[in-house]
Amino acid sequence: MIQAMNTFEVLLQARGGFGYAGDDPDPRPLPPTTLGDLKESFEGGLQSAHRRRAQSIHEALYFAFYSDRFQGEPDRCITVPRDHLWWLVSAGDTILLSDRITHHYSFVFDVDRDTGRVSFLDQWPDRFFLKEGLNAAGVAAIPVDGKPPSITRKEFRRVAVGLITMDTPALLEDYFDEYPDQRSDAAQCLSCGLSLLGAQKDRFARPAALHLRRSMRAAEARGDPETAAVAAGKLYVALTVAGLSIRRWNEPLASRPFDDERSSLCAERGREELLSGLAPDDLCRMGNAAGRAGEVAMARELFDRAVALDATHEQARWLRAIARDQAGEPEGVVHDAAEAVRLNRAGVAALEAERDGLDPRDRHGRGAIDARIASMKERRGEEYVLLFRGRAALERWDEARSAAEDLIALDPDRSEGFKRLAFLEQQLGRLTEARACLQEALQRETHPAVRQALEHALAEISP
Amino acid sequence: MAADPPPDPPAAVAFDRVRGRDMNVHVGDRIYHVGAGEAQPGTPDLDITSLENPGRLRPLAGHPVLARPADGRPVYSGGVHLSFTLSHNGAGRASVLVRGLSLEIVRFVPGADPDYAHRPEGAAIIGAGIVKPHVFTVSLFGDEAAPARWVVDAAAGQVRTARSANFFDTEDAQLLSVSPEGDVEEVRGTILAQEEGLYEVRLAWDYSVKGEDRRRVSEPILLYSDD
Repeated sequence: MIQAMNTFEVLLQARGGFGYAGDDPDPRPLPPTTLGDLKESFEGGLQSAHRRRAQSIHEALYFAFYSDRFQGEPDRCITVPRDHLWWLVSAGDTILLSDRITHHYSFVFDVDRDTGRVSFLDQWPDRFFLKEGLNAAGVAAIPVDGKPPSITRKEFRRVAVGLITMDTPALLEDYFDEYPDQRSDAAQCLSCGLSLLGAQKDRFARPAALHLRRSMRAAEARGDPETAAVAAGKLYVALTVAGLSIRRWNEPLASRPFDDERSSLCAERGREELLSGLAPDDLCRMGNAAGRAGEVAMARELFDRAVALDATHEQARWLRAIARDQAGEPEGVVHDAAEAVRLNRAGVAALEAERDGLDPRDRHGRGAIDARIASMKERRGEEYVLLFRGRAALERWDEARSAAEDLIALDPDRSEGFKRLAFLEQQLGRLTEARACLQEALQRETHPAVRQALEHALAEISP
Repeated sequence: MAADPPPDPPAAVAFDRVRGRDMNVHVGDRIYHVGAGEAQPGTPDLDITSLENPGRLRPLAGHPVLARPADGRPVYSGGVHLSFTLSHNGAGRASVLVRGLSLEIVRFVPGADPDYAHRPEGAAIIGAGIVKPHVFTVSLFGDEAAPARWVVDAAAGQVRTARSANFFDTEDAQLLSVSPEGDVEEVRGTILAQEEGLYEVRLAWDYSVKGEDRRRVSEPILLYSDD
């Protein structure tokens, strides 16, 4: 297991932890955060760290596990028998503890399986509710061997609701090796598959397929057609994404096992039946993988299905505009890109209203919404580019200019809009204006290769 | 000639004292007028808001409220959060001295019952951190209730545990008195069903008015645990 406790947290504890905001006379309200919410938040940070190359274990992802005392969040968390949490818990994990009155997230400092104790590095160590007398579960956390307060395995069993751990997909196989009977638990295998698919990285589609296949077969064996159908649909997604993502790396034979299994799954259940149970997000995911693998027709079909299922699905509109652009259908590009922009604007306005409705002191809640807005606006920029391309291909120059100007207004510090305007002016034979736009683009562009291309273009149209 | 009423003793430390007589009293709240030593109309007495008023009994986070098959009465899984207010009924000038609050286990049926099979909702367990002060907790273990526990200050590790079945009988207990002009006392707490089985419990308040001891009891509360 990957130990995630970092130096900052240790130093923070040594200095007495954070101040407790609840001591303020009028404390800010806390956004309600479930175990699944927290896991997704951590996962977002991890993927961002991968992109920035600040985290080099690309097989790493976060898993969230619930004790089966509780109904978990099966689409993003894995529910295990309560005794199995002891096997799963490791240093660095985030853990949700509860005595049924107080519920609290804390960090696991150390697990000593020989002595059967788990210690916690809590943010507010003075008032950690597992200290004797502060909880209704009869738990008495005490410091042992110079470590932070720890509790016994038996006490852990009483108060552990669930945990979040960073690991690789191999953790699940290790778990099933330890508890082989769980392989026949269709619901648990389904949650394992969904957790891997939910990490939104194509590399996890392959291990996801393993768990989804198990879930489908286990559900069939116990006569649970509903779970079997859900597992089969998700298995189709996993096989499609896994096969296509391997093909992208120019290894045509490597995708064969996934393609063959997908074919036999279709023969067994019918492709239409499998696709009919999927959500637009699933269809977009497969379509995106198809598009990246050069399977434009397949991508197009999947995006058509997604739009037919939900005409207001912005991502489906945006992706279909890309597929239509690749297929040379400018009318379709303009139609989908314009609709995507409209949906994006409405979505951003709704998020801004949600953010403005939050308590002004809820900076975490506001920050989370602002991050979503920034991500949506980034996508809108790509939608404007598509809109420009479609309109320019149709020689609807005034409308194309409008798209370029919208792009500049959205992000005036980037070169993208000016590049488009320069192209447009050049097409209209207005070389002075085209040169001015290229100069503007050059002032903003930082990528060496793009700068070189811009300089070349400028030289070509200079007198 | 009636003697002057005794001065108000300070409120018990464990209470969450509410400033302002009308705070936390819901319009139309029912109050108890049952039990031994019932007051005559127009004479001083203790008003206690009924646990059957809206919001006075609340399920534990994520725990479903079940229904007793026989009569559909609510059964709180795992335990229940409760609150009530104590105030003077406004008649006469004599203060009311609240001497005790206790829990009576009317009935306990041990063991798991498939009629009440349930699993709490994990997504409703929201980690929010710190023990709330000035509320009581009582744990039920079959036929026995553990002494009430009051967290006074979590950061300072100040916890008071009742020395008897009376919740107010703590180490530094002070008598609670309500007067016609005095504050409304809001009391909050949680009863937890720890041992597997179905519990029927009720709260009992013991108090005195002008030297006469009186007792009130709440409606029964049904709790179930299979943990």
